[in-house]
This record gives sequence, C-alpha cells and structure tokens, in this order.
Amino acid sequence: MLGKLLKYEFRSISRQFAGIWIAALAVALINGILQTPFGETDSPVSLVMILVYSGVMVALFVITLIFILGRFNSGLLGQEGYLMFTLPVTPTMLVTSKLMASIIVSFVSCIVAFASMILLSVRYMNFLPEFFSELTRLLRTITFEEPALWLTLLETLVLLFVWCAVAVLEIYVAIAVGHLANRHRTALAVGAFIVISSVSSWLMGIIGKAADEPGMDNWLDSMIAHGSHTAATNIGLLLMIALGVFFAAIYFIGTTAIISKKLNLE
Amino acid sequence: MNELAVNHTPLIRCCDLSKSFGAKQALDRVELEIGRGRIVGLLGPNGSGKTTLIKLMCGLLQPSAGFLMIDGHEPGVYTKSVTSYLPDRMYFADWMCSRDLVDLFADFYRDFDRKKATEMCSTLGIGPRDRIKSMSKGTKEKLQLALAMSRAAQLYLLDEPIAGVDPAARDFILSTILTNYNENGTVLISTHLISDVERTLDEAVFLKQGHVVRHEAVDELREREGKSVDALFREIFRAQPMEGGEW
Repeated sequence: MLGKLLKYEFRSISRQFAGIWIAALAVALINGILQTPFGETDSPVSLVMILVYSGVMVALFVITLIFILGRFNSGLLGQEGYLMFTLPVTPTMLVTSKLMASIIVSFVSCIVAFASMILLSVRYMNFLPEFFSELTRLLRTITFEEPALWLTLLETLVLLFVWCAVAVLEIYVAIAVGHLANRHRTALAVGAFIVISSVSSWLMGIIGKAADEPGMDNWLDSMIAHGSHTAATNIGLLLMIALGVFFAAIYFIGTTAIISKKLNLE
Repeated sequence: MNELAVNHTPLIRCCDLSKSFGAKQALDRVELEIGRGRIVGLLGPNGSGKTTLIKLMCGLLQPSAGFLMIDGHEPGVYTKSVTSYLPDRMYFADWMCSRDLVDLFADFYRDFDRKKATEMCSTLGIGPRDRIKSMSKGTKEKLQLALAMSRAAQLYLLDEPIAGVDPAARDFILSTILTNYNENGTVLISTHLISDVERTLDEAVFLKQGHVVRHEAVDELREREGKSVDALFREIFRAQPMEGGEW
C-alpha cells in the first residue's frame, strides 16, 4: 500500500514541479548562452534574464517549502484528509509517503538548482572534458587505493537523507501539535516549531559538548595519528547519522501518535 | 447440508459511545446497533451529532469514551476497506483530474467497480482528463457520489448527500444511491431533509443533542404513531421559540 501511496505522491510531484524544474533549467541555459564574460558590460537582455533566473530560483525554493508544508497540512489535516484517512492504510504509511515525497522534492530541487548553475556557464564549458577525465581518475584512485572512501561517500549521502528527514519531520510534528487545538491551530503550530527547534538545538549543544570530552578527542586523535583519517571520518559520520535517526524517530513517532489518536478534521 | 453463511453480527455497534470537543459534548453515551442490508436514515437537526457519529465510524475521529465496532472490528484498515464514505465537503486535490481519482479508488479499494464509475462519469458529462480544479461545485459533488457508489461496500456512510442542492439534483442523487448500492450492504444517510428520503428508508435513527432518542423500523413507526416520519421529526425537534433562560 505504501507503494500505491507513493505512486500518487509522484503524480502530484510531476504535475506541480515539472514546470518549475524545466523553467529553472531553461532560463539558466538561456542565461548561459547570453552571458558576457565577467568585467564586460552586460546587455539589457542578459540583465533581464539574470533577474528572471533569480526570480525562478526564489520561486523554486518557495514552492518546494510550500509543497513540504502543504503535503502534510492540506494533504492530511485539511480537506484532502477526508479522502486520505478513509483509505485502507495506516497513519504510519500516510506520514511515510508524505515524508518521502518531501525528501525527494527537496533533493531534486537541489539537483536542479545545481544543474542550473552549471548551465549558467554553458559558454565556457571547454573545461568539461578535462573535468570529467579528472573525475574519472579520482574515482579510479578511490576504488583501487582508498576503497573506504566509497563508504564515506555513501555515509555522506545517508547523512544528507537523514537530516533532510529530520528537518521535514520537525515541521510535521509542529503542525501535528498545532492540530491538537480546536482553534488557532496555525499559531500553535508556529509556537510548537519554535519550541521544538530550540529544544533540539539545546540537545545538540549538549551532545556536541559530550563529544568534545577528552576521552572522545583522544580516541579520534589516536586514530588519526595511526593514519586512519578515513576511519575517523566514517565513525564521525556514523555518529551524526545515528543522532539524526534518533531525532527523526522521535518526531515521526510523535507525529503518527497525534494523528492516530487525536485526529480531528474540521 | 448446503447452508448459506449468514452473518448475524450487527454491522454497526456503538456501545456507550461519547465524543466531546473541549467542553462541548457532541455525542453522549450512544447505544446503537444496525444490521445488514438496510437503508437507515440518521435524522436530526444541525448540531445534533450526525456528522460526528459518521466521522467516528470512518475513523476520522476517535471516541472520548465507549467503543464502536464496524463488522466486528474497531475502525481501522479493515473497516475502511469495507466502508464507502461520502463526506459533506470536497476532498479533492487541485492537481487531480477525474481519471486520477478513478485510478486511486481502483488501486485502494478491491470492491471498486471501475467500469461502473467510468459509465457514471460519462453520464454526468465528466471526461477522464477533466481537471477537478475547473469543475463546478455541483459536478464535484456528483463525481464524489459516483465514486462512493461505484463500490460494492458493506457500509455506505453518506453525510448530508442532499443538503444544499435543488430538488432535481436531490432526485438524481437519491436515485443514484438506490440504483447503485450493494444490496447486501447497509446505507446510512444522514439528513435533516426527511420528506425527500422517507420513502427510501427501512429504519430511522433520531439523534437529538448527541443522544439517540429513537431507533425504529420506518413502517412500524408510521403504523404506531399514525403519522409520517417527517411529521414525527417536526414534533420531536420542534424549536421552542422565546423560551428565555440563562445566556
């Protein structure tokens, strides 16, 4: 059933984001073609195009944020909830599908933004063959001489995924807390978000201090001294992932508990 | 012996069921049993608790006290798979077209009849690629009704299906319900427009200020009281104007 829920999330994403993603890439490409080298006077057309590009980038960011909020707030706790909560699926599946959709949209929007920046310099892409040959050489070196770096790369990706989930779930749990009120739900959700963010920052500070203890420092220093830079990095990344999973689990459990036990659609 | 398996457990069972919103008591210790293959009117004025009771049956609300069983199960994944719900508002997402909704119902409900839904949409002049966003309120309501009635559900929960529509549309809605429901299932229609639905009902449940004040077969009720359900409704729920009292 989760797969079926995701199918409709992807349909929704494709209808709502295809336009802005294509627009971002197209405007960047036109900018890249029109752009003059730095230091030279830009033509009015290219100045306008840069303004358009900036506008599209801001729109991309805003629409992504609205999507993340809307998938949960309107998609589950608004009128669409009358459909979603009467489907034969568990609240856990519903929250998971909205979370996955939000993470995917965030990742793809970031990739589109990055790709658009590359397209901005499309006229100066004679460096590309050299860039790709360097990249291939680097990947070959990692594979044959330092395979543990693949683990580092994988852990970095997982870290990004987990902390993206934490950010989204922090919003969800705040909206769910707001839903507990009969009136002024938005105000309570904003208040809850501020409190939850403050508490999580405070907890992170405490954990950061604990990690700075001499025992931990000495252990990592000794690893680095023995030439295990990669191992030390991997352990550090794993600890950050574990911390993210901890926060994500608390927010997820809180969100599903509220919508399972205290759902009250207006 | 070749015996037909008949399920004698009530389809709906509410036991001491209460629901409050803060200080407001929407339902107060409701005791109710409804069998299978019945068309039941959930009758009461606005604010009597009809929608709250239906939402509890759908699992959209949780009881404050007591319990509720649908086909022997507490509201959850199973009961949602056998219950077809028509809410009193629109539940569509703006990005959808009518085909998306038909696909969604076909994906999630085993008892959904895609052919029937497509035919009903076609009769209503709704094309598969018609955007929900561009449909009129009346068309959206009819689309929701077509989707709900294209299921062979055990229980149909229809919340105010004829409220706020003209008499011609009321006839269309009622005939759509009567010609499409699963006859082994039960239809629970909440309304305060009694005269329009009276002829279709097997049973009537009168709900007043969160209490079930009467639950009887419509024929017995008419025979005993010597009046129509509509007349009885007016008698039970007659407003007492200018009574005064504390603010």
